[in-house]
Amino acid sequence: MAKCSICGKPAIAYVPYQRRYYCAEHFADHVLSKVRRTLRKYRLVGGGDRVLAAVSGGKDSAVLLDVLARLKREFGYQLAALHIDLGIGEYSVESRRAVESLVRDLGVPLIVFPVKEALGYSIPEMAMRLRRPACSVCGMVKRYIYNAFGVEGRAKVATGHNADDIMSFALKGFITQDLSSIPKLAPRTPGIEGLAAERIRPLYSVYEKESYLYALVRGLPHYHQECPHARLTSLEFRIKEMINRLEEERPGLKLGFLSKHAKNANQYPRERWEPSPCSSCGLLSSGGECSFCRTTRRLRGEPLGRSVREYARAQLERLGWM
Amino acid sequence: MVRVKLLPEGKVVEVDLQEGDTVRDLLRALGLSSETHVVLVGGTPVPETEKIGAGEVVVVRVLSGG
Ligand SMILES: [Zn+2]
Ligand SMILES: [Zn+2]
Repeated sequence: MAKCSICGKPAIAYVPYQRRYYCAEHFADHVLSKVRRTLRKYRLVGGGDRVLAAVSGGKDSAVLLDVLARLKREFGYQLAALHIDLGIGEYSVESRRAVESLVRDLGVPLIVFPVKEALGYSIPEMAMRLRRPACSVCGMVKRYIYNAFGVEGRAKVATGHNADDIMSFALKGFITQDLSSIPKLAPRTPGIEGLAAERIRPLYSVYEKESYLYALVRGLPHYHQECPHARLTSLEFRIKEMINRLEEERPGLKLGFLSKHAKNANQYPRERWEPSPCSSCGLLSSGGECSFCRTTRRLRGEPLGRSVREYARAQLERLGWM
Repeated sequence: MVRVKLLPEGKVVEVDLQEGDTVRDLLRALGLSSETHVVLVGGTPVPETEKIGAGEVVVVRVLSGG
Protein backbone atom coordinates (compact mmCIF):
# COMPACT_ATOMS: atom_id res chain seq x y z
CA MET A 1 0.00 0.00 0.00
CA ALA A 2 1.32 3.43 -0.95
CA LYS A 3 2.46 5.58 1.95
CA CYS A 4 2.42 9.34 2.50
CA SER A 5 5.74 10.81 1.31
CA ILE A 6 5.79 13.00 4.41
CA CYS A 7 4.61 10.92 7.36
CA GLY A 8 4.36 7.32 6.10
CA LYS A 9 0.65 6.91 6.88
CA PRO A 10 -1.54 5.25 4.20
CA ALA A 11 -1.82 7.55 1.18
CA ILE A 12 -5.18 8.74 -0.14
CA ALA A 13 -3.81 10.57 -3.18
CA TYR A 14 -0.92 10.63 -5.60
CA VAL A 15 0.15 13.97 -7.05
CA PRO A 16 1.85 13.05 -10.35
CA TYR A 17 3.47 16.45 -11.03
CA GLN A 18 5.28 16.20 -7.68
CA ARG A 19 5.65 12.42 -7.75
CA ARG A 20 4.39 12.44 -4.18
CA TYR A 21 1.86 10.52 -2.15
CA TYR A 22 -0.15 12.17 0.60
CA CYS A 23 -2.25 11.04 3.54
CA ALA A 24 -5.48 13.01 4.13
CA GLU A 25 -3.85 15.51 6.48
CA HIS A 26 -0.80 16.19 4.29
CA PHE A 27 -2.93 16.34 1.16
CA ALA A 28 -4.94 19.14 2.76
CA ASP A 29 -1.66 20.86 3.70
CA HIS A 30 -0.49 20.53 0.10
CA VAL A 31 -3.60 22.31 -1.23
CA LEU A 32 -3.45 24.96 1.47
CA SER A 33 0.17 25.73 0.65
CA LYS A 34 -0.67 26.01 -3.07
CA VAL A 35 -3.26 28.65 -2.20
CA ARG A 36 -0.87 30.41 0.16
CA ARG A 37 1.74 30.61 -2.62
CA THR A 38 -0.86 32.01 -5.05
CA LEU A 39 -1.95 34.67 -2.54
CA ARG A 40 1.71 35.71 -2.02
CA LYS A 41 2.98 35.43 -5.60
CA TYR A 42 0.19 37.52 -7.10
CA ARG A 43 -0.29 39.70 -4.00
CA LEU A 44 -3.98 38.88 -3.92
CA VAL A 45 -4.59 39.95 -0.32
CA GLY A 46 -2.95 42.04 2.36
CA GLY A 47 -3.47 43.32 5.89
CA GLY A 48 -6.69 45.31 6.36
CA ASP A 49 -8.34 44.02 3.16
CA ARG A 50 -11.96 42.95 3.12
CA VAL A 51 -12.59 39.78 1.18
CA LEU A 52 -16.07 38.78 0.07
CA ALA A 53 -16.05 35.13 -1.02
CA ALA A 54 -18.67 34.17 -3.59
CA VAL A 55 -20.07 30.81 -2.47
CA SER A 56 -22.42 28.80 -4.68
CA GLY A 57 -22.80 25.72 -2.50
CA GLY A 58 -20.59 23.61 -4.80
CA LYS A 59 -17.25 22.03 -3.91
CA ASP A 60 -14.94 24.72 -5.29
CA SER A 61 -16.46 27.59 -3.37
CA ALA A 62 -16.58 25.43 -0.22
CA VAL A 63 -12.83 24.90 -0.64
CA LEU A 64 -12.37 28.61 -1.32
CA LEU A 65 -14.13 29.62 1.88
CA ASP A 66 -12.32 27.00 3.98
CA VAL A 67 -8.84 28.01 2.82
CA LEU A 68 -9.61 31.72 3.09
CA ALA A 69 -10.88 31.19 6.65
CA ARG A 70 -7.70 29.27 7.54
CA LEU A 71 -5.35 31.89 6.06
CA LYS A 72 -7.23 34.91 7.39
CA ARG A 73 -5.05 35.60 10.40
CA GLU A 74 -1.79 34.94 8.59
CA PHE A 75 -2.60 37.55 5.91
CA GLY A 76 -4.66 39.87 8.12
CA TYR A 77 -7.81 40.30 6.00
CA GLN A 78 -11.48 40.28 7.01
CA LEU A 79 -13.69 37.61 5.45
CA ALA A 80 -17.40 37.21 4.69
CA ALA A 81 -19.35 34.94 2.33
CA LEU A 82 -21.88 36.02 -0.29
CA HIS A 83 -24.40 33.54 -1.65
CA ILE A 84 -26.83 34.28 -4.47
CA ASP A 85 -30.04 32.26 -4.28
CA LEU A 86 -30.83 31.91 -7.98
CA GLY A 87 -34.27 30.34 -7.55
CA ILE A 88 -33.43 27.30 -9.71
CA GLY A 89 -35.81 24.88 -7.91
CA GLU A 90 -34.40 22.05 -5.81
CA TYR A 91 -30.84 22.86 -6.92
CA SER A 92 -30.97 26.32 -5.33
CA VAL A 93 -32.73 25.11 -2.17
CA GLU A 94 -30.07 22.45 -1.57
CA SER A 95 -27.21 24.77 -2.52
CA ARG A 96 -28.35 27.38 -0.03
CA ARG A 97 -28.73 24.73 2.67
CA ALA A 98 -25.14 23.54 2.00
CA VAL A 99 -23.82 27.11 2.20
CA GLU A 100 -25.60 27.74 5.49
CA SER A 101 -24.10 24.64 7.03
CA LEU A 102 -20.63 25.47 5.62
CA VAL A 103 -20.52 28.99 7.09
CA ARG A 104 -21.76 27.63 10.42
CA ASP A 105 -18.88 25.11 10.49
CA LEU A 106 -16.30 27.71 9.49
CA GLY A 107 -17.67 30.59 11.57
CA VAL A 108 -17.78 33.00 8.61
CA PRO A 109 -20.54 35.65 8.37
CA LEU A 110 -22.92 35.10 5.43
CA ILE A 111 -24.91 37.43 3.21
CA VAL A 112 -27.63 35.89 1.01
CA PHE A 113 -29.01 37.66 -2.04
CA PRO A 114 -32.39 36.09 -2.95
CA VAL A 115 -32.84 36.77 -6.67
CA LYS A 116 -36.57 36.03 -6.87
CA GLU A 117 -37.49 38.16 -3.84
CA ALA A 118 -35.19 41.03 -4.74
CA LEU A 119 -35.71 41.16 -8.51
CA GLY A 120 -39.23 39.74 -8.82
CA TYR A 121 -38.20 36.78 -11.00
CA SER A 122 -36.00 33.73 -10.55
CA ILE A 123 -33.21 33.07 -13.09
CA PRO A 124 -35.28 30.54 -15.12
CA GLU A 125 -38.23 32.97 -15.17
CA MET A 126 -36.00 35.79 -16.38
CA ALA A 127 -34.48 33.58 -19.07
CA MET A 128 -37.92 32.55 -20.30
CA ARG A 129 -39.25 36.10 -20.44
CA LEU A 130 -36.13 37.41 -22.12
CA ARG A 131 -35.89 34.39 -24.49
CA ARG A 132 -32.24 34.07 -23.61
CA PRO A 133 -30.20 31.04 -22.42
CA ALA A 134 -30.43 30.69 -18.62
CA CYS A 135 -26.62 30.54 -18.27
CA SER A 136 -26.06 33.89 -19.96
CA VAL A 137 -28.73 35.65 -17.86
CA CYS A 138 -27.37 33.95 -14.74
CA GLY A 139 -23.78 34.98 -15.47
CA MET A 140 -24.77 38.59 -16.06
CA VAL A 141 -26.91 38.80 -12.89
CA LYS A 142 -24.23 37.16 -10.71
CA ARG A 143 -21.48 39.42 -12.05
CA TYR A 144 -23.59 42.47 -11.29
CA ILE A 145 -24.48 41.39 -7.76
CA TYR A 146 -20.90 40.43 -6.84
CA ASN A 147 -19.67 43.72 -8.20
CA ALA A 148 -22.34 45.78 -6.39
CA PHE A 149 -21.48 44.15 -3.05
CA GLY A 150 -17.75 44.51 -3.67
CA VAL A 151 -17.99 48.19 -4.58
CA GLU A 152 -20.36 49.06 -1.71
CA GLY A 153 -18.28 47.15 0.85
CA ARG A 154 -14.91 48.30 -0.56
CA ALA A 155 -14.11 44.61 -0.68
CA LYS A 156 -12.26 42.26 -3.00
CA VAL A 157 -14.53 39.64 -4.49
CA ALA A 158 -13.01 36.14 -4.35
CA THR A 159 -14.37 33.39 -6.60
CA GLY A 160 -13.73 29.64 -6.59
CA HIS A 161 -12.41 29.28 -10.16
CA ASN A 162 -9.94 26.41 -10.18
CA ALA A 163 -7.01 25.71 -12.51
CA ASP A 164 -9.18 23.64 -14.86
CA ASP A 165 -11.83 26.36 -15.11
CA ILE A 166 -9.17 28.94 -15.92
CA MET A 167 -7.30 26.90 -18.51
CA SER A 168 -10.46 25.71 -20.27
CA PHE A 169 -11.84 29.26 -20.35
CA ALA A 170 -8.61 30.56 -21.90
CA LEU A 171 -8.46 27.73 -24.42
CA LYS A 172 -12.07 28.35 -25.37
CA GLY A 173 -11.11 31.99 -25.98
CA PHE A 174 -8.34 30.80 -28.29
CA ILE A 175 -10.49 28.28 -30.15
CA THR A 176 -13.25 30.81 -30.75
CA GLN A 177 -10.59 33.52 -31.37
CA ASP A 178 -12.18 35.70 -28.71
CA LEU A 179 -8.65 36.75 -27.79
CA SER A 180 -9.55 39.54 -25.38
CA SER A 181 -11.36 36.98 -23.18
CA ILE A 182 -8.21 34.87 -22.67
CA PRO A 183 -6.67 36.87 -19.78
CA LYS A 184 -10.02 37.54 -18.07
CA LEU A 185 -9.59 34.78 -15.49
CA ALA A 186 -6.17 35.93 -14.30
CA PRO A 187 -5.25 35.48 -10.60
CA ARG A 188 -6.54 39.01 -10.09
CA THR A 189 -8.53 41.57 -12.05
CA PRO A 190 -7.90 45.05 -10.67
CA GLY A 191 -10.89 47.13 -9.62
CA ILE A 192 -11.87 50.56 -10.94
CA GLU A 193 -12.57 53.14 -8.24
CA GLY A 194 -16.34 53.43 -7.69
CA LEU A 195 -17.18 51.29 -10.77
CA ALA A 196 -15.79 47.80 -10.35
CA ALA A 197 -14.57 45.73 -7.43
CA GLU A 198 -11.25 43.91 -7.58
CA ARG A 199 -11.63 40.20 -8.37
CA ILE A 200 -9.30 37.59 -6.92
CA ARG A 201 -9.07 33.87 -7.74
CA PRO A 202 -7.21 32.15 -4.89
CA LEU A 203 -7.74 28.62 -6.33
CA TYR A 204 -5.94 29.66 -9.54
CA SER A 205 -3.38 26.84 -9.26
CA VAL A 206 -5.58 24.22 -7.55
CA TYR A 207 -6.57 21.41 -9.92
CA GLU A 208 -10.24 20.46 -10.00
CA LYS A 209 -9.37 16.98 -8.74
CA GLU A 210 -7.40 18.50 -5.86
CA SER A 211 -10.37 20.69 -5.02
CA TYR A 212 -12.68 17.66 -4.96
CA LEU A 213 -10.29 15.69 -2.72
CA TYR A 214 -9.76 18.65 -0.39
CA ALA A 215 -13.51 19.09 0.12
CA LEU A 216 -13.78 15.35 0.76
CA VAL A 217 -10.94 15.00 3.28
CA ARG A 218 -11.99 18.15 5.15
CA GLY A 219 -15.63 17.02 5.14
CA LEU A 220 -16.78 20.39 3.81
CA PRO A 221 -20.56 20.62 3.39
CA HIS A 222 -21.38 21.12 -0.28
CA TYR A 223 -24.07 20.15 -2.76
CA HIS A 224 -22.97 17.45 -5.21
CA GLN A 225 -25.55 17.96 -7.92
CA GLU A 226 -24.76 20.23 -10.79
CA CYS A 227 -26.93 23.08 -11.90
CA PRO A 228 -29.63 21.54 -14.14
CA HIS A 229 -28.69 24.07 -16.83
CA ALA A 230 -25.03 22.88 -17.03
CA ARG A 231 -24.23 20.71 -20.05
CA LEU A 232 -21.62 17.98 -20.30
CA THR A 233 -21.55 18.62 -24.03
CA SER A 234 -20.59 22.28 -23.60
CA LEU A 235 -17.36 23.34 -25.29
CA GLU A 236 -15.79 24.26 -21.94
CA PHE A 237 -16.53 20.83 -20.48
CA ARG A 238 -15.13 18.99 -23.51
CA ILE A 239 -12.01 21.18 -23.39
CA LYS A 240 -11.56 20.29 -19.70
CA GLU A 241 -11.63 16.60 -20.58
CA MET A 242 -9.10 17.11 -23.35
CA ILE A 243 -6.73 19.15 -21.18
CA ASN A 244 -6.81 16.44 -18.53
CA ARG A 245 -5.98 13.68 -21.03
CA LEU A 246 -2.87 15.72 -21.81
CA GLU A 247 -2.18 16.34 -18.12
CA GLU A 248 -2.31 12.59 -17.51
CA GLU A 249 0.36 12.06 -20.18
CA ARG A 250 2.39 15.11 -19.18
CA PRO A 251 2.02 15.78 -15.46
CA GLY A 252 2.35 19.48 -14.64
CA LEU A 253 1.12 20.69 -18.05
CA LYS A 254 -1.66 22.76 -16.46
CA LEU A 255 0.68 24.33 -13.88
CA GLY A 256 3.08 25.36 -16.64
CA PHE A 257 0.25 26.95 -18.59
CA LEU A 258 -1.03 28.85 -15.55
CA SER A 259 2.19 30.55 -14.59
CA LYS A 260 2.76 31.71 -18.20
CA HIS A 261 -0.89 32.74 -18.55
CA ALA A 262 -0.62 35.01 -15.51
CA LYS A 263 2.60 36.50 -16.84
CA ASN A 264 1.23 37.10 -20.35
CA ALA A 265 -2.12 38.56 -19.26
CA ASN A 266 -1.39 41.94 -20.86
CA GLN A 267 -0.12 40.48 -24.15
CA TYR A 268 -3.62 39.86 -25.46
CA PRO A 269 -5.75 42.46 -27.25
CA ARG A 270 -7.85 44.56 -24.92
CA GLU A 271 -11.58 44.96 -25.20
CA ARG A 272 -12.49 47.88 -27.38
CA TRP A 273 -14.86 49.59 -24.99
CA GLU A 274 -13.89 52.07 -22.32
CA PRO A 275 -15.38 51.56 -18.84
CA SER A 276 -17.83 54.28 -17.85
CA PRO A 277 -20.45 54.67 -15.11
CA CYS A 278 -23.92 53.26 -15.87
CA SER A 279 -26.39 56.10 -16.46
CA SER A 280 -28.87 54.44 -14.06
CA CYS A 281 -26.86 52.81 -11.27
CA GLY A 282 -23.39 54.33 -11.60
CA LEU A 283 -21.53 51.01 -11.71
CA LEU A 284 -19.42 49.60 -14.55
CA SER A 285 -20.88 49.93 -18.03
CA SER A 286 -19.52 49.84 -21.57
CA GLY A 287 -21.46 53.04 -22.30
CA GLY A 288 -24.95 54.25 -21.39
CA GLU A 289 -26.96 51.95 -19.16
CA CYS A 290 -25.25 48.75 -17.90
CA SER A 291 -26.58 45.38 -19.06
CA PHE A 292 -28.13 44.63 -15.66
CA CYS A 293 -30.10 47.89 -15.61
CA ARG A 294 -31.12 47.44 -19.26
CA THR A 295 -32.28 43.88 -18.64
CA THR A 296 -34.21 44.67 -15.46
CA ARG A 297 -35.80 47.65 -17.19
CA ARG A 298 -37.07 45.27 -19.90
CA LEU A 299 -38.38 42.84 -17.28
CA ARG A 300 -39.79 45.16 -14.67
CA GLY A 301 -40.26 48.50 -16.39
CA GLU A 302 -37.51 50.12 -14.29
CA PRO A 303 -33.78 49.51 -13.87
CA LEU A 304 -33.01 47.70 -10.60
CA GLY A 305 -29.29 48.47 -10.22
CA ARG A 306 -29.88 51.16 -7.62
CA SER A 307 -32.09 48.93 -5.50
CA VAL A 308 -29.48 46.14 -5.57
CA ARG A 309 -26.87 48.64 -4.35
CA GLU A 310 -29.21 49.72 -1.54
CA TYR A 311 -29.84 46.10 -0.58
CA ALA A 312 -26.06 45.52 -0.55
CA ARG A 313 -25.48 48.51 1.70
CA ALA A 314 -28.10 47.31 4.20
CA GLN A 315 -26.59 43.82 4.32
CA LEU A 316 -23.03 45.10 4.60
CA GLU A 317 -24.08 47.45 7.39
CA ARG A 318 -25.13 44.37 9.35
CA LEU A 319 -21.54 43.07 8.99
CA GLY A 320 -20.11 46.41 10.05
CA TRP A 321 -18.55 46.77 6.59
CA MET A 322 -20.07 50.16 5.71
CA MET B 1 -14.70 -8.82 -11.09
CA VAL B 2 -15.20 -5.33 -9.72
CA ARG B 3 -18.58 -3.72 -9.30
CA VAL B 4 -18.27 -0.03 -10.09
CA LYS B 5 -20.72 2.69 -9.22
CA LEU B 6 -20.23 5.78 -11.38
CA LEU B 7 -21.04 9.12 -9.77
CA PRO B 8 -22.65 11.61 -10.12
CA GLU B 9 -24.84 9.66 -12.62
CA GLY B 10 -25.25 6.61 -10.37
CA LYS B 11 -24.81 4.02 -13.14
CA VAL B 12 -23.45 0.61 -12.07
CA VAL B 13 -21.10 -1.44 -14.29
CA GLU B 14 -18.94 -4.53 -13.85
CA VAL B 15 -15.32 -4.66 -14.93
CA ASP B 16 -13.06 -7.71 -15.33
CA LEU B 17 -9.60 -7.02 -13.93
CA GLN B 18 -6.36 -9.00 -14.14
CA GLU B 19 -4.24 -9.90 -11.15
CA GLY B 20 -2.12 -6.89 -10.18
CA ASP B 21 -4.24 -4.30 -12.00
CA THR B 22 -4.25 -0.82 -10.51
CA VAL B 23 -6.83 1.89 -10.04
CA ARG B 24 -5.49 3.51 -13.20
CA ASP B 25 -6.04 0.24 -15.13
CA LEU B 26 -9.61 0.15 -13.89
CA LEU B 27 -10.17 3.72 -15.10
CA ARG B 28 -8.55 2.87 -18.45
CA ALA B 29 -10.89 -0.09 -18.84
CA LEU B 30 -13.77 2.34 -18.33
CA GLY B 31 -12.25 4.85 -20.76
CA LEU B 32 -11.85 7.45 -17.98
CA SER B 33 -8.92 9.68 -17.04
CA SER B 34 -7.31 9.49 -13.59
CA GLU B 35 -6.99 13.29 -13.71
CA THR B 36 -10.75 13.75 -13.79
CA HIS B 37 -11.90 10.80 -11.70
CA VAL B 38 -11.36 9.71 -8.11
CA VAL B 39 -11.79 6.11 -7.02
CA LEU B 40 -13.22 5.48 -3.56
CA VAL B 41 -13.06 2.18 -1.71
CA GLY B 42 -15.23 2.13 1.39
CA GLY B 43 -15.63 5.90 1.04
CA THR B 44 -11.86 6.54 1.13
CA PRO B 45 -9.98 7.85 -1.92
CA VAL B 46 -7.33 5.51 -3.33
CA PRO B 47 -4.23 6.68 -5.28
CA GLU B 48 -4.33 5.68 -8.96
CA THR B 49 -1.13 3.62 -8.60
CA GLU B 50 -2.72 1.32 -6.01
CA LYS B 51 -3.59 -2.31 -6.86
CA ILE B 52 -7.26 -3.10 -6.83
CA GLY B 53 -8.91 -6.45 -6.07
CA ALA B 54 -12.42 -7.79 -6.43
CA GLY B 55 -15.26 -6.00 -4.69
CA GLU B 56 -17.14 -2.74 -4.91
CA VAL B 57 -15.75 0.67 -5.72
CA VAL B 58 -17.14 4.10 -6.46
CA VAL B 59 -15.77 6.19 -9.31
CA VAL B 60 -16.51 9.91 -9.03
CA ARG B 61 -16.19 12.33 -11.92
CA VAL B 62 -14.74 15.47 -10.37
CA LEU B 63 -15.28 17.81 -13.34
CA SER B 64 -18.18 20.16 -13.26
CA GLY B 65 -19.95 21.10 -16.47
CA GLY B 66 -19.93 24.39 -18.29
ZN1 LIG C 1 1.06 12.31 5.81
ZN1 LIG D 1 -26.67 49.96 -14.09
